[in-house]
Amino acid sequence: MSYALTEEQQLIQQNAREFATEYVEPAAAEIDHTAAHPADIVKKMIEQDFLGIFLPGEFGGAEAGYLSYTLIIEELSRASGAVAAVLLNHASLAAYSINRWGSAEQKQAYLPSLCQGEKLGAFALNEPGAALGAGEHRVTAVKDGDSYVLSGRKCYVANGGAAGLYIVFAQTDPEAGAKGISAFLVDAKTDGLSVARLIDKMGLRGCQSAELVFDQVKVPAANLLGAEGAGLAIAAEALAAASIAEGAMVVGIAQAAMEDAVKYGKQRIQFRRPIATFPAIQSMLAEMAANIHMLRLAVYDAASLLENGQAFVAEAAMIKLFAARIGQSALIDVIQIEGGYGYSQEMVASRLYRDVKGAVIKNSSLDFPEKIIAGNLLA
Amino acid sequence: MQKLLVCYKWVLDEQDIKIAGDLSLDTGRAKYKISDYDKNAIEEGALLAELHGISVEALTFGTDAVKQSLKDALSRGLDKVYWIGDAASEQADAFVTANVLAAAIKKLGQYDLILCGEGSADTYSQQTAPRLAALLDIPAVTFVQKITVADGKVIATRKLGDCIEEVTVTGPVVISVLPEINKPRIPGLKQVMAAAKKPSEEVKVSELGIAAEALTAKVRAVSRKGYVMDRKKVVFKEAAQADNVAKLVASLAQHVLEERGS
Repeated sequence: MSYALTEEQQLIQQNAREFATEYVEPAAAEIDHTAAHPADIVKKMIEQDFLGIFLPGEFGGAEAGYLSYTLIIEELSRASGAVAAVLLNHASLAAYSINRWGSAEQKQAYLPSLCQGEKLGAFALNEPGAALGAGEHRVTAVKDGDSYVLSGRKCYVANGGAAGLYIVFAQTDPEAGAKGISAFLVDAKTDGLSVARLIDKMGLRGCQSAELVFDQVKVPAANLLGAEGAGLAIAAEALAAASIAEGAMVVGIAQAAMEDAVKYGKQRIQFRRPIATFPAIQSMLAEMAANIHMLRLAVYDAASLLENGQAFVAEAAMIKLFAARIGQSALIDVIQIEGGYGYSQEMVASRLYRDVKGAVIKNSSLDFPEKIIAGNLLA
Repeated sequence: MQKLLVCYKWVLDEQDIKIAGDLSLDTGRAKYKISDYDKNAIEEGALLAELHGISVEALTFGTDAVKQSLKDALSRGLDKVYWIGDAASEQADAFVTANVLAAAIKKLGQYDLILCGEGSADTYSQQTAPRLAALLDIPAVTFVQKITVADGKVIATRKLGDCIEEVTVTGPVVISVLPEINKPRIPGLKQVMAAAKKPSEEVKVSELGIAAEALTAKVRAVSRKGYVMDRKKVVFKEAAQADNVAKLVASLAQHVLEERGS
């Protein structure tokens, strides 16, 4: 396997960096401050074909591959983790799932609008008080003729309120526990579906998290994604695909933080010399540079596996495990290097710290990453 | 107006060039890019082609590394790129570059409008476009900030030191553009992916019949060093802040007066 990016991938990376610098970075602090969905930037991302990046050309996608997609996520994350998260939830979870498990009719009905940005996608999985993957889902889907009727509440739905299409996980067979969960394609305008509230978060604030209420929401049976009872498997793989992109988010956020620390370290004078000349500072910078580099390679590797149709779930879990460690430690060190200034809201490190925590905590896999990795080793 | 040609240069990205303590340049990790003003020229060519439904091609001269530029250039709205990769470009100045470009254009055929950037991001000699026009025996219009094509004529607005001049040209012309003429597009993913399917063609210097002396640079770079502007490190230490502010303002005013006088 070669990790050298192709000419197209290098161009996509270069153009994404230019896009992020030109349009995302100037708005990043304001997005964080207001926590408003960045609709203007999403519109510009549509013009760049970001929303259908790895989807097939027949549905309006750019067919640029999953690795190119992670390059874009990394570049967006350098400027704003929130903007990257909006794209990630749309692409890795909603669009990926429909492209992977949707019927020909479902793909034709939904993928073009997701590629063209007419609809933003979202994944409605979490529920208040329910453990992921444990079969405790309280949102139910009851078959009623040619329809299912969904009832209950979902929480922490990223892109909630901004999305036009939700993939909703509901218990079709409560007796079967985790094996009785199914996935449904639900248009945001369906009667009975409403946004109860937006949840105020510490990071990734422009990527809205909503609590959704399903009050007797009638969904055509044709909108069942995959087979009845396949919901857990769909969620597990989509979350693994998202873990790869979240690894790219951590790479981007940590890279931006490290560059800020390097710049600060060269400027900040203590004991008559720049603090970047102190071995303790250099040691922290060197460790974060090495960690970021290794995580980036792991992301490229897993994205290539996914792109080439090979098994990637264990590698995605490794990214989840490693990204959580190195992302947070990098940001703690950056704030340490920048001292009181880094701790202030005037510097970018504070936002990056809050965002990196969000990147590793959101879209939790159905199991601990260690368990997935060990399970793969012992199988 | 039927055919447009844009000339562009593939240069080291100055943001990647590091300046060492002895002011020598470290280009070891520097990537290449399309020269900034040439992106404006490509964008203008692409916009004119899209507006008038005509074709726009490009021509570039560099080392073998120039081949890496093709997909980038083609993703920016060009229909085809002709590329000349030759070691002669390593020491080429504007004299050599213009000789090679002119010989290639004579071989490729008639173009109604040839666009160049006002200067390149590396040497910024601003000579290539006028030299090219002279060699092709057609007019050159420089410092252009706006181009309109109507009734077979090119109307170019020039930004000069003390005035704006509007020039109307009929027939083939070389125009060099300023950065304010447009904002180069950031190619979308589909444009990047489509670039691989667009044609490019190599033109060899050996096939252009250029005399050896025309490939020998007139300018020889003796050395290249980084430029560092030293801080003046003036510190005002009056007890009252108002006095420090007054001194700072007076100092700045004096500096402005000196700049104007120089």
